[in-house]
Amino acid sequence: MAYIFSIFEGFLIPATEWPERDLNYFPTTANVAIDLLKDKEPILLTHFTYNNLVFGGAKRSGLKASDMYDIFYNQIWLSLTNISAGLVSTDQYYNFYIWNAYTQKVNLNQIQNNSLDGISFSSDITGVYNPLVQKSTVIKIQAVNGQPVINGSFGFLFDVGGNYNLFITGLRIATLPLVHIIPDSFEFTLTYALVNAVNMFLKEQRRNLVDMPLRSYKAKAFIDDTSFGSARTNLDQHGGKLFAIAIPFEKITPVVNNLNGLSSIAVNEDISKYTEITTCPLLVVYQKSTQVAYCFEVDSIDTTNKVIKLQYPVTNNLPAGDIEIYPAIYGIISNISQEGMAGKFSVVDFEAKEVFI
Amino acid sequence: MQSITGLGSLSTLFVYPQPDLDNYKVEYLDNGDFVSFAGTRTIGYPYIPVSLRKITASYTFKTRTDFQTLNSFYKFTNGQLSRFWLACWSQEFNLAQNVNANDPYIMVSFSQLTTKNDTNLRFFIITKEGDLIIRKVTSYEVETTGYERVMLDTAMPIGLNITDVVFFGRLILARHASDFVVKIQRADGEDMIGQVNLVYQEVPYEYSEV
Repeated sequence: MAYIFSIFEGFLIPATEWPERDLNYFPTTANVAIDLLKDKEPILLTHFTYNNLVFGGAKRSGLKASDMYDIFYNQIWLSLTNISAGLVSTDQYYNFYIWNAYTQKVNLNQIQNNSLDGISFSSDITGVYNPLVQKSTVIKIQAVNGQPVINGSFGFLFDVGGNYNLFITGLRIATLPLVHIIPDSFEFTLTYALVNAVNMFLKEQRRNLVDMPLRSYKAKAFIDDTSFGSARTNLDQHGGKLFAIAIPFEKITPVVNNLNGLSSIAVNEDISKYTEITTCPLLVVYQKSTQVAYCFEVDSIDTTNKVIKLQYPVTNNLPAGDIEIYPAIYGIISNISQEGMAGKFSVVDFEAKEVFI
Repeated sequence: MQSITGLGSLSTLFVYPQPDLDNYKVEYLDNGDFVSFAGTRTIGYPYIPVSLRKITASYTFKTRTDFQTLNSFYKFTNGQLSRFWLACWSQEFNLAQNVNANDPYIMVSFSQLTTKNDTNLRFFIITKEGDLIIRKVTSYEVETTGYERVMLDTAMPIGLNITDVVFFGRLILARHASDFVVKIQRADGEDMIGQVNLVYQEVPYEYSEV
């Protein structure tokens, strides 16, 4: 009795139980989840087709290896190929794998960065990939550093050629140059989320939902047309988008001449008298010559020694005489309008509210 | 000099900074219900025989330190959560006679305190020397002069002439009743000019708890 050995089902099937017929015992096409390849060592997949074979003019039952082999092998596998990061309000991390499914060595010569600032790999994954070997790394998307709109790709250039890309899209916190506030228009509010009720014994029942105040403000700000071009791009999408909102009454000035390369900023002001800065997670740096506002994440604030420590060092050329620095909060803009457009300047009327990240 | 007694178990006190007195409003909210059906008499049901005071105040400040005081106090009370003793800056009482040091009472005119017999009353006196005196009232007597003798929980620390008194008002048990709203006109270095607007509400049911 002839037997057909099924590697998938793992037992022997007597061949005589299938008369000669055109039977594809296994489907000739298969969808294999990419997850199989992601977090396991490469597994050997072999696909057989039960088919009618012709040997010496006579039909015989037998096994034939299908072309499925080439679906998995002789190429490079990337996982992931697309990251839709959404709203990047805090740093995001993604596992990333490259599997060399060639049975020969390949070399990753270079990773091209196409418009993806502030996104990095935790380890160097360029170099030689041995046959069937996988390398993994972690992709970090920084919340603050980089373009407000993330839309670019990494191109992986292997010596064997091919077109391998990782596309990344998302939105970062936007920073608006809304720092030159018109005094009469400015109103700043602290709100504690609170439930307040009176019971039948006339006793007030009060419970705080959050033990820290929510800040919000209304203001009118001067804005320059030069910067309004980019600002308008952000304002167009202000629904569902996070902004770094500067606290305009707590301006600080750096001790040093340039912020470039600094991860700690010593300031001149006595910030122990400032009420909001210690609970501000961000710094907005407004460059006067370019009217561009930059945003940096604050790690800690030492009010005694008047030093602000940043999460990441400053990488921009920001001379002290050309900048204004303000603490900032994560905020949503609930209302915004532009008015008084005349010549070079216009006035933006806006309301902003803090959100907890 | 500050001499403060009679606050009970609650020591949180907010007297200074002084509000803008030209923009200071004390409302007396009703504290009961009126019920009537068509064609019947209207009947009132007071919950307790006192009104709730609601105070709307603004504070103009010129320095960061002043602003920090207001801001910190709002955060200290967790906004509207915690109650505290609040100076009600309406000139409610008149000192009728000079006071000697260690007097256990003071004489007050035209206040009709005796008719209310308010044993929860605390008052504050600010003198022209800047002294602050806070006392709790224990009982009242009407004198033949028409003045009221107000007995104190603790004797007066200093002697006072009538003309020494700059402010003689009531201390109420209150909580914040609004967000902390500030309008800032200018902020430059140490200078910071603006106005904080706050609302307070008395919690008369809670006097017995402190």
